[in-house]
Amino acid sequence: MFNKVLIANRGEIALRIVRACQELGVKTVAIFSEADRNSLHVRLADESYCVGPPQSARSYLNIPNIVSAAEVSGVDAIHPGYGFLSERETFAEICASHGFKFIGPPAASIALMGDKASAKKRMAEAGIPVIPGSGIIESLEDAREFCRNVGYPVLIKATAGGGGKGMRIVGREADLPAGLETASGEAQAAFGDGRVYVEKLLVHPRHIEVQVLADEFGHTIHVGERDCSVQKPGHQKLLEEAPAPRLPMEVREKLCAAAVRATRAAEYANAGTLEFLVTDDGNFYFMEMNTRIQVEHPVTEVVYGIDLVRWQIRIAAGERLTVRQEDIKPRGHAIECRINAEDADNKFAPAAGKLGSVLLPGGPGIRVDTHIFSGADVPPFYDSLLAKIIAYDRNRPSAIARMRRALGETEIKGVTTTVPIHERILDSPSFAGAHTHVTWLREEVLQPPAA
Amino acid sequence: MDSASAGLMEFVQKRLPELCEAFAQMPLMQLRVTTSEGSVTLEKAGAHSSSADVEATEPRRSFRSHDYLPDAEPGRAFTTVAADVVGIFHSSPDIPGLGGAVSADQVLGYIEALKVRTPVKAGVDGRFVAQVAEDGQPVDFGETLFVIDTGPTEIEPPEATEAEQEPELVEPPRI
Repeated sequence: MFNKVLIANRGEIALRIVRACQELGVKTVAIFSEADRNSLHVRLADESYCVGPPQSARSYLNIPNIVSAAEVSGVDAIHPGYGFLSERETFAEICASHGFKFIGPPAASIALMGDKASAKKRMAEAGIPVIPGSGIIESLEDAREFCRNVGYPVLIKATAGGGGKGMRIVGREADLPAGLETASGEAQAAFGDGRVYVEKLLVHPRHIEVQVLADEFGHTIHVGERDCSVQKPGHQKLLEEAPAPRLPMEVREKLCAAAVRATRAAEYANAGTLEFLVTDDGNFYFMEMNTRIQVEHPVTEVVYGIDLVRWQIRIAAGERLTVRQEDIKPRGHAIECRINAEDADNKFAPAAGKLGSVLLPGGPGIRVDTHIFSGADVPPFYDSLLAKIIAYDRNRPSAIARMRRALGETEIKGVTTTVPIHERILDSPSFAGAHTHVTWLREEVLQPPAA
Repeated sequence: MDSASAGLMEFVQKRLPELCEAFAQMPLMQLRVTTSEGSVTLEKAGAHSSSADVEATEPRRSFRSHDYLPDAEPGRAFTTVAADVVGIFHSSPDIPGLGGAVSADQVLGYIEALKVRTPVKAGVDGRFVAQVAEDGQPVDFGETLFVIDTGPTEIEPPEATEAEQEPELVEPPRI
């Protein structure tokens, strides 16, 4: 096991990693920016180093200062957490070249899965379903044939695309020529490149992801799935749960088996997540792989009784993963609500400032992962996540009731938070029926159709 | 004794005598030294005596000192030379003694990390007051290394720099 680990992150995840290290008897080194001098991860770590001014680019992304802090403090390993440097293969390489173990996958896996095109190609080769795409459209006949094969609706996209320009949804074959013409024209005007391709459009898909763990000896398991369909506009997750509700057993088994295959195909080690879009007909499509620990990892931890962060450290230290696939069984249901300093009624505009009194929920079945406390500063420079409240109970309805109770106990003064929007979500009958999908929050909660 | 007050005691024992000596020779009535372990205020009661008032604040593990504020003498500014990289600090063999002239491009020491030596320049013309960081000590970003007396100038209120800092959102982490 390592003697000392540097945590190249801030906020609740830095604390989460400090705690995992302490439980393993590993000493910890925190890094912080000038804006985080009084933060909890600095206080709880054994040592701490200021690595730069508040702006992330000059502190939490400042590779020379972070690696210098690792050298000066004499650590064996660096845990990147999520965000910041966690998915930069160059950082993983630099750590290795200075003799620090990067607590995460090999740099080559990060590079492979970080590039959308190469990831999709490798996954398709491994037999993992990917969203069918046409390649550049050369003729109307090409497009017609592709669309007949995959079925309507389809989405026309510009190869040079971005910002919705050159995108067209086409619902039936008769509209295809006009759609191609407008999309191509728009793309030509916007990017000087009129080339377009066609993708199958998934209608109201759910976002379901599979947690995987692999050791450095090739033993790979999945730790079940999470449903993260409740997302803010812009595909940012707001509420996650495990296991995924209303998912037929055979789909779940296929999905998890595909995730293990994908992990092996990526020559992966450590913890990772395969994200899929799942349609109501039971089909699923690979979206991307997150080559790091995720914000929503606690729902998996409580339902499967596995400490994912501890395993990340143990695997990186060269230990064998002793958990067998047949031991992985979900027990009960867990929901996580992300409490952000954001105003849901104002496009989730982030808030910052000094917190007033902070009272966090507790009691049976409640876990709170947070770095905030009464009087803490919420700097404007970083992600607005304040706390993650995780409610666990023997089934989904009880977990929902427990979460509602926990949100009622929560008091965070000084900034606007996402507590009220979570209460609206939990009160929604379609959430209770698990009829959510990736645009559900926007379509049915934020802008509900007129009654 | 917890680690915070241990750090402060270490500061008091190792660095304070030197600082008191420098302070005694400065035309100042009060000098407050704030470190991450706590702050020490030196105050002149008479011409040649000084008293130290020690008060522990936020606990910190590693020693750092961040600002020296000459409180009692408007019109005299001290400039601190701070580390802008993380590493092991070493002072130059030829740093001037107390009151010695310092030029802006004079190298007062270097910080070594990852086999790279980053020189520490004075940055201002003035007179040498004190070396704050010890040789061979790990220093982090913003840590005070030296204090230089830049002579009589207008003192800016210390809050000004903080208030002027523009909040700037830089690349929120992708989660």
